Amino acid sequence: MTHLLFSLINNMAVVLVVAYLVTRATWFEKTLGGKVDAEAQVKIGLIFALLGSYGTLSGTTVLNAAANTRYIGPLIGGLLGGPLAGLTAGCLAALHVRYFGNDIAMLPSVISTITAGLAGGIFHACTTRRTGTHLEVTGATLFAMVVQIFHQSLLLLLIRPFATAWELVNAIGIPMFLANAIGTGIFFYFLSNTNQERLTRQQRDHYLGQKQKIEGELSVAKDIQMSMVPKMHPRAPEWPEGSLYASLRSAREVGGDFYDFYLDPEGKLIVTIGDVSDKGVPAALFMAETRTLLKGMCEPGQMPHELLERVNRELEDGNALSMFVTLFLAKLDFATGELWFSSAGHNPPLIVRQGRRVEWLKLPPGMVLGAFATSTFTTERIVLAPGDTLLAYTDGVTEAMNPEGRMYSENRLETTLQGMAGGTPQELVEGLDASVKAFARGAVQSDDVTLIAVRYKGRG
Amino acid sequence: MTGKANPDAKPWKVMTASGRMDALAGAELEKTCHEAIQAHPQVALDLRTVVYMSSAGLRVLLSSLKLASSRNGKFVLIGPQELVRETLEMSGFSRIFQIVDDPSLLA
Repeated sequence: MTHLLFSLINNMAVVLVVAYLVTRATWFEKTLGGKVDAEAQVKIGLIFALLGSYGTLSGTTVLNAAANTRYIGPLIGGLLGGPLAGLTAGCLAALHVRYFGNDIAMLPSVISTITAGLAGGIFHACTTRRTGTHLEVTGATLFAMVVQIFHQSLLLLLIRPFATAWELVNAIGIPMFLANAIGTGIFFYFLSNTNQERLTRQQRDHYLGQKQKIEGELSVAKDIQMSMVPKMHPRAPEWPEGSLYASLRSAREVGGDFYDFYLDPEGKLIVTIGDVSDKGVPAALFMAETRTLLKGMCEPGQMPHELLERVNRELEDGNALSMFVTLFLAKLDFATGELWFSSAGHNPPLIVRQGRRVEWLKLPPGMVLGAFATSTFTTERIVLAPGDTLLAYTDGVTEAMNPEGRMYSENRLETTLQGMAGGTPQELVEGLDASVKAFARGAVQSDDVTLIAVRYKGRG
Repeated sequence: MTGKANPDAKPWKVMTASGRMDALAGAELEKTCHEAIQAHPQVALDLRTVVYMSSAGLRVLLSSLKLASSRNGKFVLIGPQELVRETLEMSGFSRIFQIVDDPSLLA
């Protein structure tokens, strides 16, 4: 009996290898999803009919009866492809048995082979209808066992004399039962692995698609932001009475920072810097709206706090997400060096006096823009002497974090600026930006880093 | 002053935020705050264990305050730490929000 068992196991192994290769075919993978079309069923039928024939050819003869794994082929074919596949495989394999086999177990074998294929196919159809998939290891294995018992019963029923039948079943029953059942089980285990791979691949593709979509949005946000801020190239802004330089380094998720400058109708220089709450496309759009309002509502002779109040009322209206923007707004009179300024919740800027002494500019209190329609603001005034520089920034500078979780801080900003106090606006801005970058030491930049420096040269 | 608590006083619902109040934590926090405000007339947000508040965090505070106001309710902040307090002051929020040091001071 052991020799028979090993022989059967060998045959089983061959069947499994072929079956495994089939599962790697692309057309076959498609059937794992559920519905198997007629073309695929016929293909499966033919392949597994051949496997059935191999079973017949490679089988061992015991007591003049073939003991083999012939109907594993049609059984699996049916389980995989459905009734059409099973029937095709079963009939073709049975034909082989009928015309080329010559043993006492021929009739039961023919019946079993066709039945195995058809039953497998019906089992496929039932499982698919019940659970949505035909790939069930335990179900298939149990089914294979049932088919085995059916075959053995047929042997007992149809072979005469009964004594011979009984002897046959005793000799080959258990090995065949084991080989076929285990073989089916292993095969379906292969299949469920392949199916798992397929599902994982689908999930991965889905996530890749999502990721691309998000990257697309981030790119749009960045484009909006960059189109709104004045460029420093090819020429940095310069007037007889002063010069200016600015830089904006976006975080990956655009943080809504912006800066702007222009000469108002009276020839005075207006400088703004701001930071919108939130990130991404909503922040970029809110920033674009703010900038447009600032430019559009600007009037000659208007005090900064008046402009802030008007822009604030417009921003608050229709602001369903409770977004807001901090803003520092200054107006420099080139003739006198007077700097009029107001703030809506923005960080206090610095003044470098005569390229030597650094001091903080004390800001009047002010609520962020867009929060409350009734917010009021105050304008303050200082006088810049020729050679003085105003340095404004957003909290992306002072709140930049290094890998240890420490923040750049206002102290460090003051000290660093002091160390380069004699520089031009471009040198100051680029130097501070480099300092923030060096401090962060590669830690992820979570907010936009924006700096703007304005030097007053005076008239005459 | 000791004595019986005012029996007409409306109860306070105290929510707690902790750690970093930034964009990541913001969405969830906004949802729970809004739900609390819709269910209770007086809601307080305990900030004593919040270490950092970004503009996203401020936005949650703002939208919560506006929701409470629209329902004639109250939304109050408890015990912001030094860094968070600075953020609240710079943005002007400290003048708009009622801030108490301790839940026992809720009136």
